[in-house]
Amino acid sequence: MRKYVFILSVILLLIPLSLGIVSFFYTPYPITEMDIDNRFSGISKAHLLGTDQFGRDLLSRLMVASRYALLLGTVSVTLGLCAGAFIGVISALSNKWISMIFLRFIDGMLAFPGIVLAMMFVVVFGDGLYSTLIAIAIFMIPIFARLTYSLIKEQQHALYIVAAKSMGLSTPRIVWRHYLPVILPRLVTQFSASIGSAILIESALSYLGLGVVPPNASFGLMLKEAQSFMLSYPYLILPSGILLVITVLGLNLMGDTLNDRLMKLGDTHD
Amino acid sequence: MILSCEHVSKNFKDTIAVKDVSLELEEAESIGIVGESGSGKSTLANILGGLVRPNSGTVYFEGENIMDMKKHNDLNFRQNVQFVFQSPKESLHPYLKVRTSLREPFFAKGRPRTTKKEMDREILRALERVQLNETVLDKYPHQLSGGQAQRISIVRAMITDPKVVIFDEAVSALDILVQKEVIEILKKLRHNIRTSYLFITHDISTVKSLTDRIIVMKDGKIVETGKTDDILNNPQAPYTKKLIASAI
Ligand SMILES: Nc1ncnc2c1ncn2[C@@H]1O[C@H](COP(=O)(O)OP(=O)(O)OP(=O)(O)O)[C@@H](O)[C@H]1O
Ligand SMILES: [Mg+2]
Repeated sequence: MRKYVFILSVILLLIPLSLGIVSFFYTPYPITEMDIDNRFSGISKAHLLGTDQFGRDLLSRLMVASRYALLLGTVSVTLGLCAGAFIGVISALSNKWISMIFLRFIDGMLAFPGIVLAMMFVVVFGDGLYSTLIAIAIFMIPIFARLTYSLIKEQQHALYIVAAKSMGLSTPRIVWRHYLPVILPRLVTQFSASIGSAILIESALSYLGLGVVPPNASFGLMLKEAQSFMLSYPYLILPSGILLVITVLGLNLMGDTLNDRLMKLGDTHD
Repeated sequence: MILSCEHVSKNFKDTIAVKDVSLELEEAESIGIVGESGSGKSTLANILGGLVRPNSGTVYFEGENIMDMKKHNDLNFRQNVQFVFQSPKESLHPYLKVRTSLREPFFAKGRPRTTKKEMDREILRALERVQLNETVLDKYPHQLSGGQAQRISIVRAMITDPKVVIFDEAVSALDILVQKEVIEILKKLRHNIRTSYLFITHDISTVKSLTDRIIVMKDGKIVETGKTDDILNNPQAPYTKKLIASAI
């Protein structure tokens, strides 16, 4: 059963992934090219998914939107993971006081709903791709810091960690060689699911007009534009809506099943 | 005198685990610490090995207080006092192959770098001494028998020639025949090297052939200490008599 879920998640993810990758080399039309005679054209040979209110090719825009969603999601969550894991390790392994200060800080950040935090950031530092990216990364830091902290605390008294300490290994080595193989699967699981939420946050920001800005393409932006024509052309909402669901669902399912698979690849260092 | 402690005590909240214990371990000497479960043996061992900080009292390694050690001596202490724990499988990293685990001691802080080739040569030589085949190197701990895993732990503790090795119930988890095997191996190892040993056990019969001296502990205190033969043949404290009787 779990195996099929994993395969399903891979298939789902291949859709936005291939669209996004191909978009680097090829899109049927330039994404900003307008064709006023062909507005709301519906599905046709020339426009496989139809066109929007400016006559722009929806497939092309969707391909670029997939690219941005996945890139932005991956990069921002990677940044959040690295910074968060680092903070988590420090708070788990330092003395009581430093640890407590870090934990208060993490909990403080966790208390903010992510989208509010991201909105605040974007409002203060301006919209656009980079501040969206940083905003999401910042939102991810406490999540990974907390997770890393509790995973390390969980292992701290395990005999093989005590053994590593008693051997006289340095703390960085103990973290890298002894903690990491054990906590990595859980971090990767969280990583995968977090890319899903990063993409949702990005979409929400763009939808609110804060993230990726026109004439660029993103899921949130496309949804927002489609929404304006909801009554006359309701099908406009389908391409970006469905692809967004597919992407996030794929990432979450992958996160769920990845854990078991990664456990088997324990010896990461040989 | 290589490792010693003076008047060490340790309590965990209300429990007094170790109370005012002093002992001395000489170079190439082997001491058994014997007592029932909860008598404070492991706590004492961890204090001596620097894993647990005593509430009071002092531990000396090569005559120097381990709490006051400067970096260099601290590294020297850390490398020269090694442990073999009770649960062999749990003390090996579950996700690392035996080969990787056995290379780890060579990476101790402050050790001169060794090439992987040299490490592997040492590892093979050590495996031979504990009568293990090199095929174990490519296994994970869960693929080993208890006896194999414990012999791996012994190799890991001794591969860098530490001056002191502390065995905390190192054979208790093994079944009788495997226990005998491991004890035989340890006996042989003793003849080869000038290492000092601390054997901790609740079962006096497992250390009688391995130790020069025995220290009997009860409720965190030493109740009797003496040469192994004297303790076994002529125990003074009633508690020691009970321990000997229960072991036979
Ligand atoms: N980390 C700890 N926290 C709280 N209490 C502890 C801790 N470690 C040991 N103790 C207590 O200290 C006492 C001595 O424990 P210790 O493990 O040293 O005994 P032991 O002689 O090694 O026993 P065993 O033969 O069962 O291993 C026990 O009462 C135990 O409950
Ligand atoms: Mg014990």
